[in-house]
Formats: sequence, C-alpha cells, structure tokens
Amino acid sequence: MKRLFSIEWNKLFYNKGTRIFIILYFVMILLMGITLPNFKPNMNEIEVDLIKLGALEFPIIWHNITWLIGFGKFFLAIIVINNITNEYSFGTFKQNTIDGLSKTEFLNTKVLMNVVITLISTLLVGVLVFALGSIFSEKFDFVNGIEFLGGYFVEIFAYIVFAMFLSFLLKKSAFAILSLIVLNIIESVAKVVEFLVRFGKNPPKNPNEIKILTNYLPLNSNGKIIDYPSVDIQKAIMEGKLFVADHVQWEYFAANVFYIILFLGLSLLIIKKRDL
Amino acid sequence: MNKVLEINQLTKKFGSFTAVNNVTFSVEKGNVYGLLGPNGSGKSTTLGMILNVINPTAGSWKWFDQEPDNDSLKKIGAIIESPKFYPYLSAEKNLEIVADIKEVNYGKIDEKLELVGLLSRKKDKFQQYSLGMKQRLAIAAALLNDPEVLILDEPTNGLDPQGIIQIRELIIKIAQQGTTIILASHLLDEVEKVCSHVVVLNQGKMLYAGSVDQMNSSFGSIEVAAQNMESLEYTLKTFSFVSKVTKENNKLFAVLSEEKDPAEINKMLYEQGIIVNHLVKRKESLEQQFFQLIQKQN
Repeated sequence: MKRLFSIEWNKLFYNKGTRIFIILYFVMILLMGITLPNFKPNMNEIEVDLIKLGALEFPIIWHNITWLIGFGKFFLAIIVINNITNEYSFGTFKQNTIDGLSKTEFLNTKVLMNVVITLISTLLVGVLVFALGSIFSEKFDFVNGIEFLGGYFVEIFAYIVFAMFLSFLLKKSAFAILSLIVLNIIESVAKVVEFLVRFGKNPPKNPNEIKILTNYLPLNSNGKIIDYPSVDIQKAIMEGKLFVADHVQWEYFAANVFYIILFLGLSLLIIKKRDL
Repeated sequence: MNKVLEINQLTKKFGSFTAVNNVTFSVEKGNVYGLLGPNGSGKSTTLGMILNVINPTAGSWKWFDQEPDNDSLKKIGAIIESPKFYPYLSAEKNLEIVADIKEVNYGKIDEKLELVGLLSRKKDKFQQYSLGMKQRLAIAAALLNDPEVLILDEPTNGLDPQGIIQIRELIIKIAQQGTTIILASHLLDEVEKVCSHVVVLNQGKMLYAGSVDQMNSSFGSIEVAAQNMESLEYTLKTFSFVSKVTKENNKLFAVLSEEKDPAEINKMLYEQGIIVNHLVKRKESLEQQFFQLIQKQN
C-alpha cells in the first residue's frame, strides 16, 4: 500500500498539468466561498438575498454546497485523464510492467489516486460548509444533513472512476475528455427522448412522481445523487425561507456504487486483455 | 548449469499474422546472448511476451526454473525499444519510481547513476537529456536491482558513434561482472562484438540457437595475392583442401574445406615457387553466416 502510494505520488505531484488543475480547483472553491455570501441577483428589481432565504442554514447548506461544488468534478476528471493517458503516451505503463509492477498493481495505484483525490475534495467541502455554516447559519448543527457529504464522496469517486475507465479505453486524453462531454450530452438527450416517447401526448400531472429510466445511466445518475436544491415558493412567501431540507437520493447512490464496481472491473479487464 | 530463462513453444498471432511461431530456447547463466533477426522478425514480440507486456497466444516460459509470478520481473532489468521515463521528472525522481516498483533501496540510485556517468545531472529533468543520456539512464534503471539478467532491445538505436561505443563498453563491463545479458539487435557487428551465444529469428521462426562458434561448420576462407596471379590461382585449385576460388579486387578468395593453418598454406605455396604478398585467413563473419541461414530458410 505504502509502496503503491509512493509510486503514484511521485508521478502525480510533480506534474505541472496536475498542479495547474489542482490550483484552479482550489481557486474555484475559494472563489465560491467568497462570492456566494455576496451574491445577490436582481430579479424584477427585487434583490434576492440567498442567505436570507436560508441557502446557508443547516441542514440545507449541506445540500446546496455539495450540489454546487459537485460541478468541479470535471476538473478532477481531467487530472485523472491526464495522469492515465500520459502513462500511455510516455510508454511508462509498459516500462512499469517490465520493471515488475503487475497490471493489477498498476490499476491499484490509480484507484488509490482516485480515493485520495476524492477524499481531499470531500474534506474541502466539509471545511467550506463548516466555515460558511458557522458564519451564516442561525443555529450551528454540523451533523444534521452530513449524509450529503457521503453522497458527495460517492458522486466524485464514481465520476473519476468513469473518467479513468475512459482513459484506459481510449488511451488519448483528447478522446477521453471529449467522450466524457459527448456522453454527458447524449445522456441528457436520451432523458428528453424517453420523456417525449413515454408521455409525449399526455404529460403527467406530477412530474416528480414518475420514474425516468435513463436517469440511471452512468452520468445522469451521477448528477442525481445530489439533485437540485429543493425550493418551495409558498414557504418563501409565508416564512421568507425558500429552501427545503431534502435527502440524498439513495437509489441513485446505489446505482453509482454499482457503476464504480462495474467500471473498476472493466478497467481491469481492458488492461489485462490488451497488449501494451 | 542453471537456466535463467527457458522458453517453450512460444507463439503470438496478431489476427491471421503469426509474429512469433513456436519459438523454443533457453538462456544459461553468465552468458551474453544475442537475439538476431531482421526488422519484423519477432524479436521484440518475443521479449514483450516474457516481460508480461504482450499476452502470448500459446506457449510458456520459466524464469529461474520457476513459473513466472509477480516477483520474477523484479529480478530482471529490461529496456524495450527507446527509454521510457516521465519527462517532467528529474532522473533521480524517475529512478525513485523504479526503485519503489522493484522494491530496492533508494541508496542504489546514486551508485547506478555513477556507473553510467549521470550522477552530476541527476537533478535535471528527463526531457532535457540527450538521447545518449536517456539510454544510459535506462540502463541505470535496469541495473537498479542488481538483476541476474539484463535484457536490452536495440540499445544503440539512433545513437551517435560515441554513444554506441559508450553503451557497448557498458554492456561489456556489466557482462564481466557475471550478469547474464540478452541483447536483441539487427546490428550484427554489435552482436558479434559482445555475444557468446546467438538465437536467430526470421519471420517469427527460430532458425538457430547456440554458441556463435558452432553456428557454422565451415573452416573459413583465405584471402591471397601474389605477383603472378594466374599461377597462384592455378596452384590454389590443385590443393585438395580448397573447394572454391574466386577473384575479386586483385585478390583471390579460396574457401577451405578442412582446417588449415595459414603458415602451412604459405609454406606450400612457397614450395610451388609462389611468393605471396598478401595472406589473410578469415572465419566467416556473423553477417555471412546470418545471411546463409536466412537464405536457407527462403
């Protein structure tokens, strides 16, 4: 374990591209932490103060922050894709194998890297929620809603494991990044198509009640673990609080755990079967 | 004798093309083996299979009389094709990765860099190295675990003459320390200079495996010249141990059919009244033997 970590650390940490993306990622999170409390969009000449509407109240803050920072997963995926496709273009995957690192061990170093990246990202989100929550929340209750942190961990991990699988499959970083974007679009389109085919003529009265099957595709289900923050306009008018406490969507959580296992297995299969 | 490597009926097919066809040979400890063959003859594929980077279609091999497992490659040092390192890392960091993989002490890094003459440049990034330095770094990496076998695939490819000499001297130095070396090359004079044994491949088939000396049963040839070439040619043809005489560039080439000392030939010619001004005995070069083998197959 320590050996595999040490191998991967030297490869990852001293790479300029990785460093740039990690810095960008930090800056992005930091900027969000700074701008979010000061972000007051104007709607119909009425200033919307998200904080006053309860965006950073516990436990709602967990949902909102994990959902928002979740968009940064693309940066992390690029770090992973860059790292793995480099191993192909430098020919170092081959040389590592010749030197005595078995293909399973090689995959393990990459999985270890994914775990570390996900842990760091999760920790950052925790720190951000802690900081913003202690400043803006009326009552400090760190534990309530912490399930979103678990949901966030699985979301990020599943996403970069998928990115890793694409890198092993396609070997070229441009192809892997492009296919990640294109697949995202295809899955979104599939969702619309399914909806139109099933309910084209008579749309359901309550869209929240129906099950869209294409939501269980890898990237769709990934974004569904932590869904859009729930809002209630009525509550906003009555009590001045827009956001409603919600939960991690456990069925998508389970689907992603399944995808993690699937894509780890497929990655291993690919690198074992293929000649280097 | 301990066998370092034993290859048994190894075959690799890429679709309908057979790159390596039923190759069987073994490598004994302490010798320098040349793996010979023209481009595309299956040398690299054979090495790739025994080094786990290419999955064989059929056949098996043993390292050190044991079935290959996770640890067998840690006792081997190998360089396939060009040197492969992380360009953004220094030589030292690159070797740290290799040391971690092979589970050897970081203390070995300076020792091996010293051996290949790169110690003063160890903090420099790999991408700033010249091709010769990259190749030497690759050898340092392969030697990091003091391997029992060193496998080199075209180690002098693309190097300048000075680089070639440096690598060749390094190989000889390593061989003298008792390390078994397998050297794949299509450069025959290179193999001839350092190898004691050869394995010849062509079109995926093995044509010969054994010592360089026994590769050909011929007795060599002589190259002679004298003032009177016509009588020289006539006299040579009368000798029973000369099988064929050809003329080239004002010299005569006579192929011998039995072992003869050049001094004795000189004496016999002198007795016939011919005084030679040029007499050289030649063993057939590896190059000639190699082409004979390949022609025989075709």
